[in-house]
Order: sequence, then C-alpha cells, then structure tokens
Amino acid sequence: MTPLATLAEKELIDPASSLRVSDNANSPDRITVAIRLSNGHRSPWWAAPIESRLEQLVNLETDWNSHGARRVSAEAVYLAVRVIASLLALDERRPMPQVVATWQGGLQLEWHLQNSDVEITIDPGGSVWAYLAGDDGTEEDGALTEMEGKVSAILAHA
Amino acid sequence: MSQPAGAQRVPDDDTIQSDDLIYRRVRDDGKVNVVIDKNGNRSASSAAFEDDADGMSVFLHSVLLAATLEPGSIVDGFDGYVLARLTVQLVRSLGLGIVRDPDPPDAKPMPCNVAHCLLKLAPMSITQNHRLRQKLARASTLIPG
Repeated sequence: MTPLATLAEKELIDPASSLRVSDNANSPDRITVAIRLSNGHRSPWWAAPIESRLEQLVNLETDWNSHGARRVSAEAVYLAVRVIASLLALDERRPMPQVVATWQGGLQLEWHLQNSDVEITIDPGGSVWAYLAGDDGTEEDGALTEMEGKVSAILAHA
Repeated sequence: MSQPAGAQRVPDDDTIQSDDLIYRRVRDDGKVNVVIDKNGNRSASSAAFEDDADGMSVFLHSVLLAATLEPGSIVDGFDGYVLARLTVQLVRSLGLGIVRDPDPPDAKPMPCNVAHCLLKLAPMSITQNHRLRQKLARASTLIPG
C-alpha cells in the first residue's frame, strides 16, 4: 500500500487549505483524493475534476501499461495538486491540464494549446520538470522552479 | 547507420529496414496515456514513450506479416489498448537503434512476440529524454488495435 502518513493535511494553496490522499474506509484497496479548503474558502474551480482524475490514476494497478509500469505514487499526486494550484490559481480562464500517468510512477500534466505545447513531468521522487514547445519549432525545458513564470504566462494568455 | 553525427553509438540491427513500421502498445482507456492534441485529435502522450533499462518495447510490421499476423494481434487480450505507429527511419533519425528481441522474458506469451524489438537509447538527461519522447509522440499515428 502506498505510504500515506506523510501526505495527510499538507498545505495546499494557503495555510488554511489541505489535500488529503487516504485509504477509503469502504474500499480498503482504493486510495481516495480530496482537495479541501477550510475556513469557508470556496474550493477552486478545478478541484472536482482534478480530484476525480488523480483518483483514477493513483489507483492504476502495477504494470498498467503492459510495459512494467509502476503504480502512481501518492507523493506525485500531492505534487501534481500543488503544481496545478500554483499555475491555475483561481483564474477560471486558464485551461485545465490533461493528466496522464508515467511509467516510473509519476504524473505528467499536459496543455496542448494553439501556439504551444506545455508538459510538466512530476517524478515519483519529487522532481518537477517543464517542457515547452512552440509551433515555430522552438523548445525549452528545465526545472519548473526556473520556468514557472513562463508557463504561467502561457496559460494566462491561452 | 543513420545516427546523428557525434551521437553515442547505440545497438542497431542493420537487417531491419528503415522503411519498416513499428508499433508500440499504448494504454488508451481512461486516457491513461492518450491525450487530445491542439486540433482536437486523440494522440499518444509523450509519457507513452518512456523506456526502461532494457529499451522501449515495439513490434516490427514486416515480421508480423511474415508470421501472417495483423498489427491488431499485439493487443489481443489487452482491452483498452491502442497502437502507436512509427517508421524505423524516424526513430533512427532521432538517434535511436532497434534490435530484435523475440520472446521477451516476463512477457505474456503471445504469437506476436516473434516480432518484438527494443528501441535502444543512448544515456541522456531527463530533459533530453523528454524532448525525444515528445518527438516520438508527435510523429506517431494512433491506430485502433
């Protein structure tokens, strides 16, 4: 079972918010994902569909791609929510990512926009990388910490 | 072979013709490794082209034909999977090699295993690997199993 103890009740958007990745009491083998804001804050607009998507991916079985893939780690789920929260914030005009699983047990967030492609890979160990490709053939990549401003600007104008 | 100048040499079987086709099995149900591109079409995610230590599993079209098998045989018994199709020429142009690997260990016994091959990559950084995977995804054609 994925270790969950380190993930419960971590800060998400602000100190009043939390992400819970936990066992489902009614279905012990199934992991649930819940994004919650406390203190009466409204949940971000992307919370429900992202919860549903992450819950689907974190419950994939080992070898889910027939090429020996590992299970998606709970840490990757936590990081994915952090990244999405940071990039989308509360701006409903920003497009939601498509989320896919990676062979190593991580997640990949993808935006395929009219003038550019944005892909963010979240390794199960906690590294987060961004890749940008323009329709003019340009490519740029690096740690998300160095590229977050650029990615955010692209999403803001999508 | 046709690897880029200066690239580290990778194993490559020159009995495999560059105009041959290869297929990679991709998990489609729930869009686990399939995305919608900017034109609204379904395509393989770059995440579908991650390799493990041995290489990236693919199946060679000419060997399937010689064994009187259809490409669809690659996903027999794999509900919710599709195939990503590429040319050998394309993968070689990106610096990858291809070697035959019939009857791979730990694989489900299947008639199509006779056509199993591995794409071989030179060691590269995470970002270089992502660029490579993106090119493979963009160049691939998704076809039903």
